[in-house]
Amino acid sequence: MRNWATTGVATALVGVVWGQAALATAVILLPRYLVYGEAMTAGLAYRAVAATVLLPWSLAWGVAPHLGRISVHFFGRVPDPAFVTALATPLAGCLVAAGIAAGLRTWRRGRTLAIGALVLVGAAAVVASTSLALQLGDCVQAEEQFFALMSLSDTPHQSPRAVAGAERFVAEHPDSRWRSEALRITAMAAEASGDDRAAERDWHRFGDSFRDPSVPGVAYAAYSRAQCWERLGSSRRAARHYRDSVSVIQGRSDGTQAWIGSDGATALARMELAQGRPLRAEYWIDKANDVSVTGRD
Amino acid sequence: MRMKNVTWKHGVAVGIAAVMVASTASALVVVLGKTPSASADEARMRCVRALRSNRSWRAKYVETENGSDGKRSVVRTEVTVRQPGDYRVVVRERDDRGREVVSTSIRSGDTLYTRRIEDDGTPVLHVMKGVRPSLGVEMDNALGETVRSVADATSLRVAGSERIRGKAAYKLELAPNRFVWTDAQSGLPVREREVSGATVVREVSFDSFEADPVVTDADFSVASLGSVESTVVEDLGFRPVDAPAQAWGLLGFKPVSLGVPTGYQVLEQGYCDPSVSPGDREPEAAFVTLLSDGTNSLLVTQTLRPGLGDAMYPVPADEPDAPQEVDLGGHRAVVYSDAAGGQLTLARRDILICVEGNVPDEALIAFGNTIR
Repeated sequence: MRNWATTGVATALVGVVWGQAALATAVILLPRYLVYGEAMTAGLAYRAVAATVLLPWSLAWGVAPHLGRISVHFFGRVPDPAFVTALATPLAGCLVAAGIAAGLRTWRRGRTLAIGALVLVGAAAVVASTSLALQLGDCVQAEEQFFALMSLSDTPHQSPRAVAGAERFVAEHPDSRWRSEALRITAMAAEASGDDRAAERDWHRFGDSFRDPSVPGVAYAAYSRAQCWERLGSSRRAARHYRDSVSVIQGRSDGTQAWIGSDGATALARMELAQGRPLRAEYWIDKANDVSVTGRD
Repeated sequence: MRMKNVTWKHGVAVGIAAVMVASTASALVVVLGKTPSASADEARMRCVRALRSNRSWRAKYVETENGSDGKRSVVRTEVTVRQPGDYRVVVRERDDRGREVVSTSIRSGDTLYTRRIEDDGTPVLHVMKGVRPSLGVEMDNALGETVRSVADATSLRVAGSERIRGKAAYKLELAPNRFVWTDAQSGLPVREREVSGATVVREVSFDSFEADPVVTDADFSVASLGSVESTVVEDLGFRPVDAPAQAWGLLGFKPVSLGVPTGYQVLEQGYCDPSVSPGDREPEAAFVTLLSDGTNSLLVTQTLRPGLGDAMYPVPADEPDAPQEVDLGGHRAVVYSDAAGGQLTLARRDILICVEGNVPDEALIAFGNTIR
C-alpha cells in the first residue's frame, strides 16, 4: 500500500508538472499562430488540453507542428468555457500519467519505466517552456519595437532607419511571425535602390516565410520575384515565377488579391509574344481576363 | 502473476520479429508492385529530349479547367508541327450555348492566321503579323509549355509512379500544387495537373503523340482554313531586315554585332518597331537574331537599357539554382541553365543582350565570346 501511495502521489505530481508545462508552452506558442491583436483566450482552454495530451509525443518525435495543427483544428471548433483553463491542463496531465501507470500496473518494470519517462518528459517540458518563454519574451519586445519603428513613416522602405530596423529584426528573430513584413520592407527598399538581386533574394525569403503555400502572400512573392528576374534579364526565370503567381491565385476561390494573378498572366502573355509564341500569349490573355473577372476584390 | 513469466527477452524477440515482418512486407510491396524507379534529373532529361528529338510531330491533348466561379471548360487541341516555327493548331471547345466551336491556326514565318467563329456565328480570319521568331524547340502549345516547365522546375522530384491509360508513368512534382506524369518508356508528358488543396484547378491530358506524321502543303495553306466573312489584322511590330544596319535609325540604338559560330547560319533577324504598340502593350525596341545549325538554335535579343553599363550584378554562390558568372574577355556575363537549354545575359554599351539556346552552357559562353 505504501508503494502504491508513493507511486500515486508521484504520478499525480508528474501529471501536474507535465500539465502546467504544457499549458505554459501553449500560452507562449499560441500567440505566434494568432493574428496580431487577436484575443489570446479564444479557444485556449481546449487547445491547451490538446497540447497537454499530445506534448510527450510531440517532444519525443518532433512532430509538434503537425499534432498542434490537428489539435487546434479540432478543439478550435468547441466553445470555450474560460474557467476550464486553470484546471483542465494539470488535470488532464495527471489523468494521462495515472492512466499510463495504471495500464502497466501488472508489470512493475514497465511501470517504473513509464514513470521515469514521464518525469523526464515533464522536466524537458519545463526546460523547453522556460527557454521558449525567454526567447519569446525577447521576440515580443522586438516585435513591438519593430512596429513602433515602422509606424513612424507611411513608406518605411524609403526610411533608412526603418530599413535597418527591418534587417536587424530579420537577422535576430528569424522565427517571428512578423518576419515576412520585415522582409517585404527590405525587398522593397532593395528594389527602390535598384539592387534587383538583393530584392529577388528578399522576396524569395518573404515567400518562404508563409507556412501555407496557397496564400496570396506566396503569389505576391512569386510575382515580385518574376519582376526582379525580368529586370535582371532572365526571361526564363521570370516566366516561371509569373506562372507560380497565377497558379496560386487561380486555385483560390475567395477572389482575394486577384490582381496578382491577372497581372501575372498579362506579363506571361507579353513574354510569350516576345518569345514568338502568339497562341500561348492568347491563352494567357484569356487567363488574365478570367482571373480578374472571377476574382473581384 | 502470469506477467512475471514474460521476460524482457520475450519483448526483444517480439520486437525483432515485428521488424522482420515489416521489412519483408516492404520488400514484397516493392518487388510485386514492379515500381519503376527514376531520378528526377533522369526523368527531366528524358522528357525534354523526347520532344526535342522530333522536328515533325502531331499531338492531341484535352485541357480541362475548373474556374473559381464553378465553371468548367474543356478544350480539345490537335497540334501538327511540320518543322519548328511552322505549325497548325486546331482547337475545339463549346461556347456558352453548348455548341462546338472550332478555331484553326496556321503559323507561316512571322505571320499567324487564325480562322475563328465569332459569337454571332460569323467566321473571321485573324491575321497576326510581325510575330517575333521563336526558339524552335520551345513550341507554341501546351505540350511545349509543359516540357519547358519540367525543364526549368527548380525543385523537381519524382513523387511516385502510376499507370495511366495502361502504361507506366512517373509522377513528377514541379511545385507543391503542380504535377506532371511522364511516360516511363518514351519520357513524354501524359498528364499535367494543377491542384488547390483537394481541388483540381487545371488538367491537361496528352492523349496521343505521333512522330513524323504525314502532312501536305495543302494542310498548311491559308486556303485550307476555309471561307471567312471578314479579316482582322493585328501588327505585333517585328520587321525582318537583311542586315542590322538597316534597323539603326528605326531602333534608336545600334545593335551589337554578333559572330556566327561555325556550322550556324542566321535564319532570321529583324527589329521590333518601337512605334508599334500591339494591343494595349507597351512598345519595345529590340533587335532579334535567330541562328541555327539545323539541330540547335540560338535566339539573341538586344534591348536598350540606359545605365546598365557592364556592371550587371553580384551572383550569389549559396543558392541551389544560382546563375553562373562567367568572364567574357574582361566583361562579366551570367548564365542561367536548365534542362531545356540556357540563357546568357550580358551588357554592352547600355544594351542588354540575352542569348537563349537549346545548347550546353559551354556553347552559350563560346557564342558570348564572339560578341563585340
